[in-house]
Amino acid sequence: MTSPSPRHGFTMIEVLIAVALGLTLCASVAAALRICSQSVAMVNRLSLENAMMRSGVAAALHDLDFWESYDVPGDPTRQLLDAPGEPFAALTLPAEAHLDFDQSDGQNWWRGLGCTMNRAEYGRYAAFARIDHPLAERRRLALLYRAIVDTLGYYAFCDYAPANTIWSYYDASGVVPIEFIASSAAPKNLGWDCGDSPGDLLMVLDGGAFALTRDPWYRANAVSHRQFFLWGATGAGWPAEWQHRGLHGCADRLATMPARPAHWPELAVLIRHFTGAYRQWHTATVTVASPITGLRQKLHLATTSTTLRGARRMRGLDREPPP
Amino acid sequence: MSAILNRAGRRGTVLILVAGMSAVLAAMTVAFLTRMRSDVSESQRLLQEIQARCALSAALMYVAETARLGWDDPATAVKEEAFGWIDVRDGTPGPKDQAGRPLAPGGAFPAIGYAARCPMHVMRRPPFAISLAVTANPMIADPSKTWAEILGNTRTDPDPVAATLAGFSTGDAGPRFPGGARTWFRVHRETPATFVLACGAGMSLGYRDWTEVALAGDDAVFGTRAAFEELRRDEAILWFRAEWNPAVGYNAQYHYAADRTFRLNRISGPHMGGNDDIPNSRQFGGTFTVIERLRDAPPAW
Repeated sequence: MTSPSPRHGFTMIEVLIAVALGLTLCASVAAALRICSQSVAMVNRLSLENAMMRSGVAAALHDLDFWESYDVPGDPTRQLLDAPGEPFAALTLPAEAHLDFDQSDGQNWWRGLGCTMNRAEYGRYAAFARIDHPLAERRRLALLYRAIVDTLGYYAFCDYAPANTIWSYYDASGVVPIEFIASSAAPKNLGWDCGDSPGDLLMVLDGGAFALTRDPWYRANAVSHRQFFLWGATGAGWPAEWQHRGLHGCADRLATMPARPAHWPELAVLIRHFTGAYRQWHTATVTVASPITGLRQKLHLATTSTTLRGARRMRGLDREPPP
Repeated sequence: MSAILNRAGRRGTVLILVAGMSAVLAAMTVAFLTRMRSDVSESQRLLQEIQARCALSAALMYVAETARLGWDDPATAVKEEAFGWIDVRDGTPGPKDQAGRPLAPGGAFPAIGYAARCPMHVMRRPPFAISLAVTANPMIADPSKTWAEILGNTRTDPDPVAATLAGFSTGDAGPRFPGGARTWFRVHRETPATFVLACGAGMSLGYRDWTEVALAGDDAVFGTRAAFEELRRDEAILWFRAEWNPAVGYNAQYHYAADRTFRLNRISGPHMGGNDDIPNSRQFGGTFTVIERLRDAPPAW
């Protein structure tokens, strides 16, 4: 008779403990894997958001340098601001109105009454310079101002005129055109809203601003020939909508990644070119919005970059007589 | 025997589980690091472009300032002031001194057709450096002392970084960090008032090519031509053309003390309206009538 062999196996308690431990282990591994997977997904998403932000900044800087969202050289269908009166219109200057602003040259000197412009009791300063003066050098600035303002608009005038330009001239009747001295009662003006004294860029831009945009509503309302107020209000004589949109609305969206997958972050790039607060502004706002978390990251940047005249020079749009 | 096998089997299971989890963690770590490396690499180019744009601002300021300042006739005791890249007095190319004499010899910048090279390293100690440390000058509570002694002011405030007056004014222009400049710009004078600005982010110190390195005697800085050219390939360079003009603003407002009167203000004097403390409202280095980004490297820069 053989002795009974020892039984190989587990007691119920051992099995239960082993199964419980096994389940705990499996659950832990599953949880770890899930967390790992989520971490990888999150890293990828953050990386994608960063890449979108980089892409947006690069696109913004490119457009601020080359102005291609306004005008694509060689593609007439994408030359959006080339109508007469708009910033990318072709400019042909009269013979005496070239763009050489040598300050030692008398033809670049403004001649007028520095305090009060259009009051005969102070003297007839139009005798020294006016738009139809018999001497070419005495009518040059008036002709140049008129050509730029009429052909390209107010923003362009800020860009083209040297910093010391006095924004005023006498017309053929010997008075300063209302466009150069008007106030908020007449919003289509280049004047400053503090009386009829002549101003320069810094004086006008103390509270005024000029902008360009390809927004159809603004263009239909002659944005190229309107002055904004920096503090938002627009005064009398403006369409009601301007009270709400004003300068703030003069922002142009770049077409960025229109075919992106729906689960990718949304990238928005807004470009602005305006003059105000004594200087030119070339700015962009880059926004990345996550469709998963709803988080929005916004980066606002202002750069020193190509000016309007530089952008027009790239395109050969200025035809000027030799100085 | 069987129990031993079972124990070995359990050990094997644990080993497989631990190895598996470690592999998962390792794979994730590698993926994470690879992704981060890739992100950093992709960011580097944008970072370089932004550095180059900082150099553009520096280049424009350099052109504006050197229109008037920074020149010297060693034969005289004073530092001459110039009258612009185009002399505002007669329209001829500057910089010239008060008597109309050119302030720089030909054959190099600022002569037309030549370039200035400006590596933009962080200096060990810039000229006229002021310490960030707060200087305390407490009052001395001793009535027997004079008022001047009580007020103290025994220590300089602000406090110069340099120990000597000579060191304070000259600074220590050497690079603070090994490797020198990571940003640079070049200013090439194309016409009397038109400049090509090359703005770079990289380690070439702004040398245009190896020939220029050799002419400057800086071969040892880069070692070999191949090393220099590799540094050049890793750089971001932006080219701009800028046209300078002597015109500056704020002349209308400050010619007169008040609107509608003929009472003149002193130029750059306090304005009676009190708003002449607007930053950057007035300067004397001129302005730029055109700035144009160039798509490609121009023939001369």
